[in-house]
Amino acid sequence: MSVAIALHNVSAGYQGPVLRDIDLEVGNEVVAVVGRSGSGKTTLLRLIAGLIEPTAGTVDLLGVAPAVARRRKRIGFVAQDARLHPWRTVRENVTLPLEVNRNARTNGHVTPEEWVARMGLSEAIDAYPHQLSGGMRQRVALARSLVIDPEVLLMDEPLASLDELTREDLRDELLRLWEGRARSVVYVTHDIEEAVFLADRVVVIGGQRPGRVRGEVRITLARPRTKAVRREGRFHDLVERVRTLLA
Amino acid sequence: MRALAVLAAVLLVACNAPAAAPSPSPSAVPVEKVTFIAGFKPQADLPFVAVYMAQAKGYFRDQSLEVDIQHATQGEHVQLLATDRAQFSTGAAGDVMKRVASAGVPLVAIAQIGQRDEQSFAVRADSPIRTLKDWEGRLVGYKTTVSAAYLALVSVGGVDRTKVREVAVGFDPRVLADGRVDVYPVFTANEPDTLARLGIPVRLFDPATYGLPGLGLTFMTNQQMVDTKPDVVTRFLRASLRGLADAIADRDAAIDVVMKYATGEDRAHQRYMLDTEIDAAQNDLTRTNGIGAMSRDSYVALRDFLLQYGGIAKTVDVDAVFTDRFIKDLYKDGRLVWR
Amino acid sequence: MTARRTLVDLSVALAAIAGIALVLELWTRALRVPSYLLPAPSAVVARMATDAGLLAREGSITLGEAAAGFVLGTGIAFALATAMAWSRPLERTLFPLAILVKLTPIIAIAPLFTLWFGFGTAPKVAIAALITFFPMLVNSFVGLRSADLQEVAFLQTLGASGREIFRHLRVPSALPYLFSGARISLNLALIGAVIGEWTGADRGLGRVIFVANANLDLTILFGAVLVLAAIGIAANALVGAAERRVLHWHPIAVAT
Repeated sequence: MSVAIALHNVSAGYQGPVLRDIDLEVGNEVVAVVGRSGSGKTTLLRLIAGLIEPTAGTVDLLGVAPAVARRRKRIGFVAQDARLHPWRTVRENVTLPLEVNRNARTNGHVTPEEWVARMGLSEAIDAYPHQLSGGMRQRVALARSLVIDPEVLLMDEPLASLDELTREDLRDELLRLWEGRARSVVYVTHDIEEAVFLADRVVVIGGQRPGRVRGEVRITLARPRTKAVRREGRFHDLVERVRTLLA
Repeated sequence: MRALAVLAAVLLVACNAPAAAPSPSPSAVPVEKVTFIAGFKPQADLPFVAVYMAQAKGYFRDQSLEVDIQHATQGEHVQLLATDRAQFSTGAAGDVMKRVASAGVPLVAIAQIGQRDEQSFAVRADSPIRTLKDWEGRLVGYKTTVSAAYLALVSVGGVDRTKVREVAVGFDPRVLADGRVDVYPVFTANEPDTLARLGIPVRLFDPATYGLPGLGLTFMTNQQMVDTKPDVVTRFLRASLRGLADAIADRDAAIDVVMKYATGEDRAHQRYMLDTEIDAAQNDLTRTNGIGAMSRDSYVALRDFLLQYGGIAKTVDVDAVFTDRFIKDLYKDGRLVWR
Repeated sequence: MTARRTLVDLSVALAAIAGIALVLELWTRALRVPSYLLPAPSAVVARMATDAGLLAREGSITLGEAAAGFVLGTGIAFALATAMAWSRPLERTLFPLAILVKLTPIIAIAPLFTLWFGFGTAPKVAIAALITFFPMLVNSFVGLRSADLQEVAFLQTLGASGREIFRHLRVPSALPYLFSGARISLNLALIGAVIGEWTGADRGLGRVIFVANANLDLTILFGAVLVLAAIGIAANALVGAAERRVLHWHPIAVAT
């Protein structure tokens, strides 16, 4: 499996170090990153996207510098509270990534309209964000990050601000989406069970500032995964192992 | 020692003795509080100077008057006078006439200080404009509206008005200095000196030299004062005219007093204003009847002139505009009678 | 719903104005107030009817000057705000200059503009532009900066250029601020044009007011003032209508 994301000895910080000596490699897999609030999870994602420079170490994305990967439009990004453009309809919001940086050729064979349909939002395709529920908005955010068919998908607690039932639905949605295509996903969350449910590996960041990699847990649960897997004993063992690393 | 003390006391008494004619005993007449509002900012306009001097020398007090001196900034003096929130003010005779004619404002002119039109038209001294006819093809400015004097000059000079470009200019004389207009309306006692000090001497087209009727500043009051407090009017005029006489006799002292009100103004410019206006206050009539004398014929001539050239829209009875009954009694044989 | 509500608002406003006018009418008649102190509303209205043509012509001239000044002032303000939003050093240099402009009293500057630009429409447009400049600068700047930082990051991960981010994110984010700035600035521009006309003009409502004041002709003076107010109200309504169309997605527009 080729390495899509590689961080070697990376440290980063603004007014003081936030992360220290991070070594992380992500291939064609889903890696969940868990940690307490303030442990540097968001900083990690910004490092990978190249939105901030490391104070030490190197970051490689698809074999090139993150800035190059951005120019080639290979990165998808979903934040916790998707700030969709309120002046654009659902359709227009999902189309936006195709309108910028047109020089970069994307592989998207799936049209924005089809993505909206895949998210079950066809009826609302001409609605404006203020007319949608939180869950619907996050679906739109997902659709717009996938419309460019990115090889790397960075997700910063994308379900954190939603209610439990919606979170469940969207988790199933994510699993379905990730099944289709070879992608490297880095999924930041504070929800340990969610991490175990979704990921192939769970990496724990933590400790006193600056945060370091405390360890990782390989998730050996079979795919495709359904809600039923949460009742298995193995699921809880894995959750406990992650929890231990966090403490 | 004692001799010195007595000498000092005698000198002290001598210095404080009243210099001029005896004053009336204040207890005889109750003191009347009045407000005088000058028609513009503090400066050496002759009626203003008269009042400043009268105040400084205590003449108002001698006439049992307590005068509060105010200055108008935007023409509010007319309304204040009309509503009797001020009792005395100043205004050009033509303006008084316009107010009475157009809106029935109850103003009355009671003394004619400026015996001729206070305005004229200035051109730069180095300009080729020498006669009225030379105004054709030129830019002529007007301040608020095209004035009757302008229209009369155009008519008298045989100027083809269609060949003159008339522009509204505002109140900054620099437009003449930097050539934005060729002919600029000025107050004869004021802007020519200002412009000269800017390095731009000017020549004047004076309506008076073309035989056009014109009158300058008056003292004015309201009809209510004339009807109900004529003696107060008399006393005010008497004190003011005495102050005016003192100013004419000692102009430096007069400017000293003016500068106390006109802080920040240029002293030499104020002196120019005073000299010019004193000159404009004197003619054969005043040499016989005293400064401020009024002539009904002049008022009729002015009224007809304004009517002819659109200065007033409809005619007006001059007796509603002025009265000379106060000024007449103040002079005897051309000299101010002090009582 | 919006049209009906506007009608209701308008009726309420008109009723209030009519009420005030009635009180003034009774007052001036009962106390026999002379017209050069306070004209009766009926006299003002009658005069407006007689001079309707004059008021309309002069009103359109002042409106033209104000509109041109508004466009000019807003254009310069937006350009400057863009520069300032782009670079913090520019922001630090330009903002104090903008404050200097704001603090200079228009009344003092107006005669200078007439000196520099002559007697035509130029000085009036310049003054209207000057008075429009600062509110629009502040509103543009705050609006452009108000773009959501997370969204900026999102567009950056897509490899969008600074210009694309400006076009797709910053300008639309700034629109609500620009509209609210326009409400203020349009009326200020009107006042600026009027002040410009006071220092040397032969046309326009400002000039009508100036001459009326000199002649103590208060009926036409108030008439001109009312026409100015009407223009201001109409302009505001126009901006409001445009705002509701363009900003239909904005939370405030949605709520009202």
